[in-house]
Amino acid sequence: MKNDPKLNRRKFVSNSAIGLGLLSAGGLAGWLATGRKNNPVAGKTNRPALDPRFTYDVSRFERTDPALLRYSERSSIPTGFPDPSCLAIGWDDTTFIGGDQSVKALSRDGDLQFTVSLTQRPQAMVPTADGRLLIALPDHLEIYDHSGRRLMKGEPLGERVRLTSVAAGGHHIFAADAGNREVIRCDANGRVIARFGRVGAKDGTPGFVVPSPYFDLCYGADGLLWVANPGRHRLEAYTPEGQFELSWGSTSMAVEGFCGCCNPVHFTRLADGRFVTSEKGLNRIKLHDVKGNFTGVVAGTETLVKDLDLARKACANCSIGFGFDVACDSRDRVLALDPATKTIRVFTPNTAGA
Amino acid sequence: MNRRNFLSGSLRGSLMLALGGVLGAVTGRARARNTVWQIDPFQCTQCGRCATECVLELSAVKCVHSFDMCGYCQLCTGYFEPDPNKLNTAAENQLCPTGALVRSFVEDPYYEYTINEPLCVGCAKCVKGCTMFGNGSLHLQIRHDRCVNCNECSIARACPADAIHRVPADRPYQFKSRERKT
Repeated sequence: MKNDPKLNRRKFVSNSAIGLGLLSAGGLAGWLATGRKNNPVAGKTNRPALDPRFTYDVSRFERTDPALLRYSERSSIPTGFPDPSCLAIGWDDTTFIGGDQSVKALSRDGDLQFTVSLTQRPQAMVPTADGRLLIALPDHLEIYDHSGRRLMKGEPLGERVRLTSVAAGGHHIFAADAGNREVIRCDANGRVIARFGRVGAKDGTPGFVVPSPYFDLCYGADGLLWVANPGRHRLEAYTPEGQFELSWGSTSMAVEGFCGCCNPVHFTRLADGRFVTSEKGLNRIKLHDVKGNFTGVVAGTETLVKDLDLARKACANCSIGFGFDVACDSRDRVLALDPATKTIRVFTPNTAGA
Repeated sequence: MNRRNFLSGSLRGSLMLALGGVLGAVTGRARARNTVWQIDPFQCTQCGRCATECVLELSAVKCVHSFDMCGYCQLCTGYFEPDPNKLNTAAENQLCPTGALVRSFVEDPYYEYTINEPLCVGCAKCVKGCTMFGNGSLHLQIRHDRCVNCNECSIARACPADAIHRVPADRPYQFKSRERKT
């Protein structure tokens, strides 16, 4: 083979580059053409939009009658947590905010009093009358003193335990276990005494129906343990020993009842014993008297979720829907933990005794 | 540069371009053969367009149910109208316009919900109800016993949430599960 005397290194490199460029351009064109040519109707099916019967529409329940509003939103407090999880108030209106793997205590004026570092995400907490802070983690309880020093770390409370709430009263600690759908009764040091409320347990209780991990409880000044039974759409009262006493609540999309498959997801009580309930799906925070009768709205869907798309994006872990944890202070203000905006939203009564 | 050089260069260039085109087309076809279209249920916004945009007369998109996520609710918001007059299987209380969701008693107070696939049109009405109030165990998937695997999926083009992607053909479904929440 005779060498081309006119072909030098520069020409060779130049010709190779042109050849490779053409090969690539051809390849790209071929690849794109394969991806396009077989579906001439792509995006052009030209079918009419679905009949309204095929559209899920609850918009008529998302508007709140202004005459029912008893509270107004006044301010908001940033939690500082990328993933806030729970809220409680106690000890001279100290606000406790749980999130990520810690709990912050803020004074009435908003000053940081202490921070508790944890090994897991806090699920719930409650400050007790004797100056202790009980924190429920996913599978065990921890007890702290009023300065944030740990007094006790409990053992895991059993198989498949998923704690979602904690309360204290009558020399007992009560933990709501959404994993096993029962309430765990412990002594003041967190040792398990009994469990009750599991469906089919034949312990004289109706049985807790907990389809999603929202299962709240609260010990009242009336000496009763109030437990949300979300699948039955009601709040139930028990003696500290776990005996079923009474219940209230009804199923309804209308504002008077509890909506969806499983509500309320959170509740708390005002100083005079009235109930404040929080629902998911149709996010609503409502007021009920001491007998459970609906008396008004703290905040409706249109107030709580102003931008649903923003809420969905911001609340990446909320694939099961999200509810607002609620707490009340001594001035009857209702504080709601907004997992989408990562803030605590403060609602104050429109009139005294509202 | 004389005429002969020009013709020779052009011929070589054309051959390279053609060879590239053939290689690209083969690669593209191989890619399409080894992948299928699927909906990411965590990105889906239940807009309802899966029911109308598929090239098939009856969409290849169907509702599927992840039983490990289901709460087996008595009042399933994917099954019942938003404000049913009773929690029974009367037609006026059912959410699905085609009656494709079937409710059966398990034990008090739990009920199981299954999908009658031939009746499902993929409108996502039940998916929206379940996702809004419940655990989101009902979700949409492209069923590959029906899907013709168009090179350019009509539904993917129309999807406002960009929730439809190509996935490996040996793992053609993206079912929801308790483990994956995001």
